[in-house]
Amino acid sequence: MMDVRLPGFANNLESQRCFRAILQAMSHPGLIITLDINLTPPAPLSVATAAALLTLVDATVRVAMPENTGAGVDWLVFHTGARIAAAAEADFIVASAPPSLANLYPGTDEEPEAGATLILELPGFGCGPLFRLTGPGIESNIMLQAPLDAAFIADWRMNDALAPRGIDLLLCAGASIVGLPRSVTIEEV
Amino acid sequence: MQGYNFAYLDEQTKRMIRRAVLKAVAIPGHQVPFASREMPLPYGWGTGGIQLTAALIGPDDVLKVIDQGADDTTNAVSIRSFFARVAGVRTTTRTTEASLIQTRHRIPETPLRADQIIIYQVPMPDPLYRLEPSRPVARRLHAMVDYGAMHVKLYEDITRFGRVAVSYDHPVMVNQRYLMSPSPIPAFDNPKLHRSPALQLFGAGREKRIYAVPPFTSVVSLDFEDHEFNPQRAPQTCALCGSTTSYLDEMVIDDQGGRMFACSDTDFCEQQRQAQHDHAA
Repeated sequence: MMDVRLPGFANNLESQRCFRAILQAMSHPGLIITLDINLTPPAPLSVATAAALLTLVDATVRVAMPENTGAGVDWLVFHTGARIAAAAEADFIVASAPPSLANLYPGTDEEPEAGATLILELPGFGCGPLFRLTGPGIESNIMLQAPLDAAFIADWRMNDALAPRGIDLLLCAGASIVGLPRSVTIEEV
Repeated sequence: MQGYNFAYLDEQTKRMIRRAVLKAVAIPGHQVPFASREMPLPYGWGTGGIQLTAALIGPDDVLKVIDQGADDTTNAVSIRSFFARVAGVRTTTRTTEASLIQTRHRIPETPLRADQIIIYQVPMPDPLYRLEPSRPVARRLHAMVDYGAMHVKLYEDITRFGRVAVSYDHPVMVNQRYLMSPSPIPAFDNPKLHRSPALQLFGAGREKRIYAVPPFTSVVSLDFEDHEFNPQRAPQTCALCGSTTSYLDEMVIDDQGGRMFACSDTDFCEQQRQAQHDHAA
C-alpha cells in the first residue's frame, strides 16, 4: 500500500486520548508516558510522533520535516492539511537529529507562546547519558536517561536563557513520549 | 448524543485549544490568546472553563463542577448536565472521585492529587486590567516583568485601610516570573495554588485567554515584608458540620437579622457530617 494511504486516527476519541497523554507529559516533564494507540505510520515516523502530529496539527499550523521529504510528509498533509514550511518558520519541527535550537522560532517576549515545538525522534529511552531535570511540573527532581548529546544540552541551556521565549520539546521513541517544556532545566549527572 | 461532536466542540476548535493549553503549561502564568467560541450559554457564565473542559474531557473522565464551592447551584448543575449530555461522562460531587474539576471561584477544601486536573472559570485574566486598561501596554508590562503598579496599588491599600484590601482575586507571582490572576477565588484559597500536585488550567472565554500552573509550581501571593499576605476567614464555625478550618459562607436566614455560617464547599461539609454520623453510629 502507498504510505500516504496509511490510516490516521480511527475516531476523535483517539486524538483526545493522545492529547491527554501529551498534556500529562508536558505537565510532568521527564515522565515516560506510553500512548495507548494503535497506529501504523509511514516509515520512518514513530507511532508517538505520528500520533502527536495527528493530535496537534491542522491546516492552521506550519510543520517542518527537514529530514523527511517523501512518504511522511505526504501522509501528514493528506491527513491534517498541514502547511509544510522551513524549520525557522515552523510551529512544529520533526527531526531525529536535533537541529540547532537557535535556528528555530522562539517567539517574542510579548508572545512567547509563538515559540516552536520540536518533536525529536529518539531510538529509545533508558539508554545514553543520565540527566537530572528540575523545574515546574517536577516535585523536586526527576532522572531521565535518553540519548541526547552534550551539544544539545548546551543548546538547551541557551534556550533556558531566552525565557520566557523558547522551544518546547517532545521526545518520541516508539509509542512513548517525554515532554520537556522550555521551563525545564537539564543537567547531566 | 446525536447531532453534536463528542463534548460539543468540533475537532478543529479542540485542536486550537489543545495547542494553546500546551503552550500555557510550558510558560506558567502567561496568558495565551485563543479563538474563544460562542457556547450555548452567555460569556460570563464559564465559557472559558467549559471550552477547556470540552477540549480535555474523554469518556473515562469523572467530572465535578462547583460554583463558589457548591455542587448544587445553577451554574454547576447546568454545566455538569451539559457534559453528561454531550460527552456521556460520569459526573460526581465528590472531590476525591473526580478526574476533572471545573470550578467557579473556589478550590476544594480536600487536597487535590497529581491525577486530577482543575479548570478555573476566569472573568478577567489580566491582573493589571484595573491599573492598565490598554491590552498592548499590559502585555508589554508582562514581557518586561514590570509589576511596580501592582505593588503601588497594594501599598496604597495599606496607607488608606491599614491592610491590603483585596479579599478575592489576590494577585500572585507564578514561577517567579508572571503576575497572574488566580481568578476570583477568596484569598483564603491562594495558598492551595502553591505547589499543588494537580495541573491547574484557567480559561477566560469572553477575554479569550488560557493560562496554566503546572504541578509543583511556585505560586506566591503578592505582599510586603512588613505586611505579609494574610488571608481572612470568618471566625465562626460551620453551623452544619462544625468545621473551624473551612472557608465559610454567611447566609441571611430570616428577616430578623438572623445569620448562619456554613462551609462554602458543600462536598467537604457533607463528608464531615457523614464522618461524624459514622463515628456516632
